[in-house]
Amino acid sequence: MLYHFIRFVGRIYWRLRLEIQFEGEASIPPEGPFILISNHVSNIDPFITHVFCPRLLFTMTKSSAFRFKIIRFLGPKVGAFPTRRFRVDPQAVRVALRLLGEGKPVGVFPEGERSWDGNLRKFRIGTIKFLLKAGVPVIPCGINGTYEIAPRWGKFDWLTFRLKKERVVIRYGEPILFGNHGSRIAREKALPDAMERVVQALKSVT
Amino acid sequence: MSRMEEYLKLESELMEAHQNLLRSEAVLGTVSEYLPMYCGGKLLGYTEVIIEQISGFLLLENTLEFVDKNGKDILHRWDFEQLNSLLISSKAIQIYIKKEGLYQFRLIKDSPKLWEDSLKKSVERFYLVQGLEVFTYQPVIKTRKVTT
Repeated sequence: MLYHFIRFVGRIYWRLRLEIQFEGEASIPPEGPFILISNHVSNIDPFITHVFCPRLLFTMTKSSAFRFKIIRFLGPKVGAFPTRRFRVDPQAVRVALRLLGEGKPVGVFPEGERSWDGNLRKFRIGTIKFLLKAGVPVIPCGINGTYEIAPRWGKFDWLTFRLKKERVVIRYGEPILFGNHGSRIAREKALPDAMERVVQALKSVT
Repeated sequence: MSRMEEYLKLESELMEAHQNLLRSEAVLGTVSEYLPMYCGGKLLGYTEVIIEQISGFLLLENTLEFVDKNGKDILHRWDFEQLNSLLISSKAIQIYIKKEGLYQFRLIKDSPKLWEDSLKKSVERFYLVQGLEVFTYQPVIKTRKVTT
């Protein structure tokens, strides 16, 4: 309920703040689990994907984002679950697999952090293994334009509204199907090809 | 000149030119506890609570050191092989030390990006001397044999 309300308020805010266009929304399945993988160029990316994804999204979020009490309270209620980036965090993978098992979509930023220059960074090996283990459709999502608005090295002015809004394009690509890779050996074997497919898919939408 | 020789030459030149490769004022923080997070009664994961403890200087030399504000007492010293992970978190650099845990250094003036890049170069050089190359830094630093 709270998630729906925050999405509603968030949509009004972002519509007033930005000119947002969507492409390829038909790629998002109306039901069933999927993993949304996005490029990450700005700290406003997770807000935009959460608010505008056609389905209620549950996103792996860096644990340090929960250092504020308000985020600790609201984060889990709007689909954010923590992952500790400084160590292997099996709990985050367990939660993601559980959510997928319940038919919910999970969002992941495979670069693991924001890009400094707007270009795609190297993807995390563990994330690609997770995609292979999950065995659900993987939908690439390109967030275009947010780097120009709020790059990692800059600041975002949350309260400035302009008549000429900045343009952001959210582009969804065709789903990637990796099939079943239940065993560790199968995942290791499929890793290079899967990595290449994910990189190319995200490049095609950014 | 091989890649390893190039690195070693660069390192010796840098060491001769500067007493420290990098020296920055920082506030040391450590994890006081890991808070479990729940939603609908189900465990979602854990988030670390970092308590800032002491101000001092972070030094990058042949090792990574944290000294007190007077620059006299070495409070921590780590060899690069002890580093399990390194990353930026907001205006801080975080390192995960094997068998010790997470340390956070909130940099007062300097850029955490500069620290991340410099530390990565030092770690790369450290392993390269042993014939290893770092192929990933997160969630843990992993190395493999250098292929020619």
